Amino acid sequence: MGRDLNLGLECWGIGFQNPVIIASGCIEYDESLSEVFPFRECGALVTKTITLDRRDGNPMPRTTEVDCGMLNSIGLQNEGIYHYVKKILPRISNELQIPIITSIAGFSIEEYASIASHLDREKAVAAIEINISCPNLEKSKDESLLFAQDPYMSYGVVKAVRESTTKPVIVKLSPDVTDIVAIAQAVVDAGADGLTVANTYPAMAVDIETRRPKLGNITGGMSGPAIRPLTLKKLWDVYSNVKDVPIIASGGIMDACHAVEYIIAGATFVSLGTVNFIKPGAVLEVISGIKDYLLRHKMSYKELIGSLKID
Amino acid sequence: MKPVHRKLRVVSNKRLASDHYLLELEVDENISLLPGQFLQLRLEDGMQFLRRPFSIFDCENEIIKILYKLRGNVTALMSKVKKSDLVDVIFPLGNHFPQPEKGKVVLVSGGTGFAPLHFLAKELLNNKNLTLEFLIGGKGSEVEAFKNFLPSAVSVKIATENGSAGEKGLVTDLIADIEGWIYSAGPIAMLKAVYEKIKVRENPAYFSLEAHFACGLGLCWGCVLPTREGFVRVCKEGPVFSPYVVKWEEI
Repeated sequence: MGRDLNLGLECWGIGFQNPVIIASGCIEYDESLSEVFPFRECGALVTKTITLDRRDGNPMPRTTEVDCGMLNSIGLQNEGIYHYVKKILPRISNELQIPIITSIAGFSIEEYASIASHLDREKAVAAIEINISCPNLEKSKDESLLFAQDPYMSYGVVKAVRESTTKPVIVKLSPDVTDIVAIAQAVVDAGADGLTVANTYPAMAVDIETRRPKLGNITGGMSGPAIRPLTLKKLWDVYSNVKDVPIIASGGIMDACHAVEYIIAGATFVSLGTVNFIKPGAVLEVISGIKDYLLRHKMSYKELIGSLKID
Repeated sequence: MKPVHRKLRVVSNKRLASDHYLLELEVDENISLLPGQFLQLRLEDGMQFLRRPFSIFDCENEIIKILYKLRGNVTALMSKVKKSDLVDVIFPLGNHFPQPEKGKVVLVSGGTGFAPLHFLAKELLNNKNLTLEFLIGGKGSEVEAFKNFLPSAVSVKIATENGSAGEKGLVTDLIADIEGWIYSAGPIAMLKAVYEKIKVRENPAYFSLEAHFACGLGLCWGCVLPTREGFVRVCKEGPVFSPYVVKWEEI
């Protein structure tokens, strides 16, 4: 019955048919999967993170199942910015009439800025998501931490990207920090238009019989329902302390209830990642579940955002 | 056919021998599956997180069959599945085995690698210009059960590690003076050994590879194989590969 309700929203000057986004790294658009995966129904697609040069990615095995989740160490395998602009972008923007958000990563501030200025010319890119938080990337050249673990470095990356493009800039934060509010505030001060809270958690698993790590890269990033309460708290911290910046919630959403939970805590968008591997139709379930919730509670979508009662 | 996502009803789930089982699933639509393709299965009971890939063992009269071995929690739960239960399946996935027009074909399987080659052998038998030899390897008694699935037109040789059937030893010991097209599926160490036996003669050959899958749909790039053309996805560009493009030294 929730089908008639319109979940469309406008944000950053972009029209979204609904607030359910596909998280970076979790979808490779493939027309042959159209019976299985409702690509065209998504609110937006965040494409797999691209880097300036092509990357082979990490050694096998790259994924392993853990209790209530999985670890991955793909290592940002991609063909580089030129291939993305020439081959991937034209095809997906032509075939999918939904906003394309391009996820980018670099190894220096200059690299981030360079990718952003390439993308600035591309009409098909609706917004840029800066991945400063991939746990599978080698550390930045200048620092021993991920960019996302240092407010000054985070500020520097975002400011450089901001100056290289007029497109909306979203920053994907790492949950693996002591004070996520400080990082979030720093990137907003640097000109970020939106925040994605958050990336995967650094994690590892060991095969005790062989005494080998279950990932070829030894460590990886954890996703799935196990991380949801942790990321929800990070999102709440950011929402309640950093004002007026739309947040994309990302972490362990498996169904509409989980999505609504994040929206109540302050998310404007919800993004689906690992669930796509298990239930490729999850995006439809989440959309109709949010509609049902709103009808049941006689609320608009806007009213639901940040409606947590704490008195 | 394009992959579809369905809940399929269990027709039967039988133990074949020792820790090997055959699961039969009923489909109520027209389907066309090709030898070499696989499906991604998830049980309804929620104990399982990621899907698990299984090669198509057979498909006829809208019944899909898969062969599995008890290996961990998920296959243990699978063995408890009963007639009329539903399982959640995405199929068919992956590429398939190219087939020759005439001549000799040798199929070399290890363990549950028998599954995709069984489906292939059945298809190849429709071509009267082919002669088939099937070399089946395994740990023990399951190999006899596998052999019974094959029609008598297929010449079969067996090797078992415990010597309970056929020759005692590895299936690769049965490979001698190979001619014709070679198909193989089984553990990586076995595939490497098969490749070593054929590489000098450069027989046309196709192997079905395995990897840890997260999605099995080509979405995540978790299951890559090192090849002369870089990392490719086992679930999407494969699982069937020419062994001559694989960088065996990196696996």
